[in-house]
Amino acid sequence: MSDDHSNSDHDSTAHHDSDHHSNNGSLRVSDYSPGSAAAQGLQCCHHCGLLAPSSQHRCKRCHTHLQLRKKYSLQRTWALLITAILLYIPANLQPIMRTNLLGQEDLSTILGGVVLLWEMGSWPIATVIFIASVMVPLGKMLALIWLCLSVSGSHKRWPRQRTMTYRITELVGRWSMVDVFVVAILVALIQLGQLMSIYPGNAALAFAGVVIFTMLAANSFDPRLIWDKLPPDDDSSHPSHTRKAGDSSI
Amino acid sequence: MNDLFFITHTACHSCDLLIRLPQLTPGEKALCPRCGHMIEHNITHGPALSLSFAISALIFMVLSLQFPFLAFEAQGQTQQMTLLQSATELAALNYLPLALLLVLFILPLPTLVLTLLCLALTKQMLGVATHWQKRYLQWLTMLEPWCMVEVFLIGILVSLIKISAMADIILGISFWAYVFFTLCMTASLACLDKRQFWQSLGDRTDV
Repeated sequence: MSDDHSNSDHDSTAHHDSDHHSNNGSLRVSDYSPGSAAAQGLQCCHHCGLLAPSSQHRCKRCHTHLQLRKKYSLQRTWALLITAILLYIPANLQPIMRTNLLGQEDLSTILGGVVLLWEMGSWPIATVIFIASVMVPLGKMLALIWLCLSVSGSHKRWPRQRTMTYRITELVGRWSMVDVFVVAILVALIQLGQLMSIYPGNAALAFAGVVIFTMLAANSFDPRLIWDKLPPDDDSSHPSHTRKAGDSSI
Repeated sequence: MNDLFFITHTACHSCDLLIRLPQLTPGEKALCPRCGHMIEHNITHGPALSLSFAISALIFMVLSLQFPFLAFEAQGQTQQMTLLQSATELAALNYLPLALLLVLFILPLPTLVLTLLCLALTKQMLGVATHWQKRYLQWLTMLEPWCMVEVFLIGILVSLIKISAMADIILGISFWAYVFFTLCMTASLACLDKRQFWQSLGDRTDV
């Protein structure tokens, strides 16, 4: 995503302190959790996964700019997240769909649509829409707020659970788009003039914006920040540098 | 640390733990011992499966553009639409941004991803590792989260149930082609383990 071309400042770790100090402050080996690659002066290419010394600027295998941590991760995540939260307000207050039935116009918001479906008795659909358009975006935004706050406040508890939260946030991101697609399909399909026509409302685009910006926000968050600055006596108690990844067959 | 160290070790993308890569037999996967993130998955015949699913998906996608997608019948009036019309109809009603978003997420991006996948995999199976192949793989990783074909399919199903109360719905050939397109595309991406792919491109760390 972010292939920044000024990559010179991530490498003030381990051996190479000759670089000018970065905007993240001067990161030292002790800033990273023991056992992590960064604490041993190593970094991993985010594209191909090849290990390299922290002082290296480009991956030898795929030529990507190497970054010890995603650049300005928290700032970017906050900025995108706030954009999404602001867009979420019109997305819920404005109508997402206008139904024109025999000359009579009917506006429906996201929540109104869910309530209507529930009352009509089609509660499975109401549940799907409720999960996809209300719970998932709200949950995503709350999860990202929690993650950002916990990282900047350097909380040390539940690193595994927070990483899991992040991964779920990343996975479910696209699914909130369902409601926008439903509106688009209904609009395309139901154009019978005065008899019955459906038009998209302002909320459709705002909601698409919410989905896109939360996806970008999740993308710019770096889960490794959760693990940095963890005390050595955490669950990863083995002092050894390297361990075999646990195998589990399917 | 010699060159071998950099090949046999990696860092978890999720928590940055330094890990020695285990030798996986087909069907096994490696998880990060600290955070549980999947490091590598040795899928049995992964590249071959992935390539065949990708080609099938492309064929189904071409098919899904050719025929009527859905038809809608209410009070003697019938309206038919093709897959592309779902976007062009929006554009015609002056909702251009919405139309562009819709069409981008369900057609050009998935096509691009599948094409890149086919190109990269074909070259890998022929045993040629080129500079371009690495580019394809990088673009693929970047574009993958933005393909929303399966989300669109759920969207279709939800809207069908929404309107089935007031009208008769006729599913066209394109609809079924689209269902198979979605299934093949999902399978194709699921069968690809990127770390294995990168390793197959050669542990030679030359540029």
